[in-house]
Amino acid sequence: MAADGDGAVNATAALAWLAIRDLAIKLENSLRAPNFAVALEWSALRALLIALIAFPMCFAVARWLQRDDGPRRRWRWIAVVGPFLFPELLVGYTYAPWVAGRPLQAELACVALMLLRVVPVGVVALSLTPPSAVTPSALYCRRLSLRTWRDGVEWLRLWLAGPLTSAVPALALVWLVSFQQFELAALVRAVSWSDWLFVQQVGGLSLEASLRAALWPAVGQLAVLALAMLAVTKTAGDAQAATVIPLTRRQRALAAAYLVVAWTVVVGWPAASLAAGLPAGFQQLVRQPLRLQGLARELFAGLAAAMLAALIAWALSRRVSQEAAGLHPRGGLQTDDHSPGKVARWRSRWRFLLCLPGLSGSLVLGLALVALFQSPLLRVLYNTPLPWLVGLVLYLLPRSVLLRAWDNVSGPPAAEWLAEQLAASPDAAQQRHGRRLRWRLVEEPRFLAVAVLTYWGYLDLTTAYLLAPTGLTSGVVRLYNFMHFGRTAALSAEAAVLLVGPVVLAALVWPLLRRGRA
Amino acid sequence: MAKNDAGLPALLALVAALILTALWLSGADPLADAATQPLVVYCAHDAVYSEDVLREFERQTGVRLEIRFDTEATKSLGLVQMIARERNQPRCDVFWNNELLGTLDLQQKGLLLPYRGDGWKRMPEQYRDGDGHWVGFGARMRVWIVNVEQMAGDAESVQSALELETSRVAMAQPMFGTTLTHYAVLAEAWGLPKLQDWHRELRRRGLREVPGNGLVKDLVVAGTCDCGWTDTDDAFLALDAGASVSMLPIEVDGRTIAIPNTVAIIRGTKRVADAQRLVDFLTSRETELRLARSAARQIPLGDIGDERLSEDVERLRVRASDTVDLRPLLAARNAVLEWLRTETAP
Repeated sequence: MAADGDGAVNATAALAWLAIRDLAIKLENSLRAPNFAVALEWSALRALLIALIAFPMCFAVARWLQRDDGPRRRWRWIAVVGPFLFPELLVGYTYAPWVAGRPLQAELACVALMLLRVVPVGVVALSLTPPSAVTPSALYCRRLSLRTWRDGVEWLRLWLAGPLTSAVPALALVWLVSFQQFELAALVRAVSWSDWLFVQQVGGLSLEASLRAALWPAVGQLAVLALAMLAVTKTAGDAQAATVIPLTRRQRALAAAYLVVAWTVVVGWPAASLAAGLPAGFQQLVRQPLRLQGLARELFAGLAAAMLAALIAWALSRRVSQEAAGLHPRGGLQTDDHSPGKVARWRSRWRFLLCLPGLSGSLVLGLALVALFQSPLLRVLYNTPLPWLVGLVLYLLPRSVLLRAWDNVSGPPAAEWLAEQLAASPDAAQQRHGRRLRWRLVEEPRFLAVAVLTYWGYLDLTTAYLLAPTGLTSGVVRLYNFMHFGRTAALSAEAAVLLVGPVVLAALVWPLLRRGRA
Repeated sequence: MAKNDAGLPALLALVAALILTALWLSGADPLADAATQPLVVYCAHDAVYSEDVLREFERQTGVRLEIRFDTEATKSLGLVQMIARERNQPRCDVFWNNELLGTLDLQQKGLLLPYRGDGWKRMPEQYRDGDGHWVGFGARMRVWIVNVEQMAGDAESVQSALELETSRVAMAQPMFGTTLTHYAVLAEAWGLPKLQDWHRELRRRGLREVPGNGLVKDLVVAGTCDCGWTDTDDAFLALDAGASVSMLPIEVDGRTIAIPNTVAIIRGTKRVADAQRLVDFLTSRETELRLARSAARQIPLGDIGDERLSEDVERLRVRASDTVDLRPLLAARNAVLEWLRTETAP
């Protein structure tokens, strides 16, 4: 009997195993050849999963950052944003050989790598979003006095208006960045709507069909972006004075674990793979003056285009973000009319739609601009830097709008006003202090925002590849070409110059900017 | 950057605009007349190998070149699409493709200008268009790359690897590059339905499809896969690095698949004479020898006289003498592309 029983258990286990295996194979096969709907849904779902897993980490790291207001804080910030700013191209190439071609493993790797890369985005969002007026202690007190179901509903309403609303911007931003991932997903061959469109258009899908397909994700992203901005403005309206909430032991452990893993996996390992060939690569490079010259050209061309586009996008975003969200500018262009009429408000809300091209992804955006600048009217401008610039501006605009939204609500306007007054004082010492304060409160965050936008634009491969005119090549395009050969010495050196170059330049220029302004 | 502080951002924008314009003007020289502007070359061949060749042309002729390279993921197909998209305002003067079928596609669309120069004359008929719309030179061969620590590097072993568990076999996505050509050859030989069944079966049994041939090579070198399809240039990279791999030419109906580089002049170019000089240069004996002696060891297709080649290239050259004629395969390539694209259509 016992043997019969064991046999039945074994047979059931074997059947269950077969069923699971069958399911895994089916899932794997559907991931190998997804249609657009599957790719889109999967990307949205994966981004949601990443946002939900990332949130507690973002929360822990944001609190860890909040603890220190001294000079060490800057280093903490660098430690946090490093994994996000490290180029995904290198991350993807490092891990692709391990997982590419194995759909399930590729998906897992994609989720893990994206998760580690996007946590800083959520941290920045959480740090910039004003704290809600509904404090944790208020919620706790309300929970203590729950008696009827109405009390429960009231508690839920408080929770929705408080912690959830202030979490929405971070969740939304993490979702947006994960949903837009292109290179990483393409390199490890995970399913993504952006890679699907890329493969299809290379295979001959018409531009019209590509645009039609891209409309859905773009509209979805626009809705999430609008939701994030509404939440930002809502929390700005209700904001309480910032209070430092103590960091629990578990949060500290989570933050530390995140930083160690993220730096090891996203920065350390890819950088180490690249650095192995660095000495030999630099030796080769210095023996090729022509190549060095070309490299410098590519670096400066990519940076100049990205910086110009970032500044334009930042200027454009002022109108788009503040008025669309119903906010008034802070520090920026002051309008006398603080209660715009209905028509003006609608017009400004329509301006928000300017974000739509950028949200459809740089590939569709680039292809549409190629078609536009090939039309008889604009043909003469096709082989100029203008299409590239327009592409970069549109690509950066939604990101810029979001950064601008935070700029509008972060920081106390009263302190900023006082700094302005101080800077205008006839006393030289007061003027100096005022300028320094203004730099710290107003200008530094905005220049930082432009710097981040510049780096974003500089690393975008697709717009540069599709739209740059002859005579201008961005280094990133060349880097992509060289990646084909694995981590050769020449590639290591060129990648180091092209990727570290902008950071070094920024580090050189920043003190000059600060000295000039503060 | 308030209204009263708009000066610095405006200054930064101005500086960036000036740098961009200066770099553009110095590179493309759009204000100069057509005769002195640089010749624009779209190059699908890997920059590591092709750039030296093109710079040598510049050095010898004084004709300035502006080169646009492809990216690995879209190898060749990206530039083919780009040239087709730019048909109203072509930027490209000469297209150096690293395969043939994309060039045939452009020829069919009427985007190529015929030229029968010295290079055209020295190439066998199989590697040139009768009217001179394109000329082939320096070929690569499709090969199996086999990790010899994992399995024997012979035809029987790779055949049994394909017939059994394929999760340790790798290939590049068939929508791109030379793998697309390979699929077109199979579609022509077997018929599309059989190829489709075969492809689906390999996928079902866990074949590893990766973004490019370079990655196939990396997977086999690392021992993650036992064998895979790639091109001779990638296989030589692994061999030169001392990896425990061997390569085995792939045969379809007893014939190898040698895929030539092709060069063509784009219709609408204002630099016809210089474009022709470049075509002659690329299809010359010297360039073929240079490519054969590079790390890529490309197979010379034209007559090279008494010049000696390395043993590797000589062996491949013998195998390339009995290779599939790719010229009639445009329809098969388009059918394969259409199938692969619509298999994942919205």
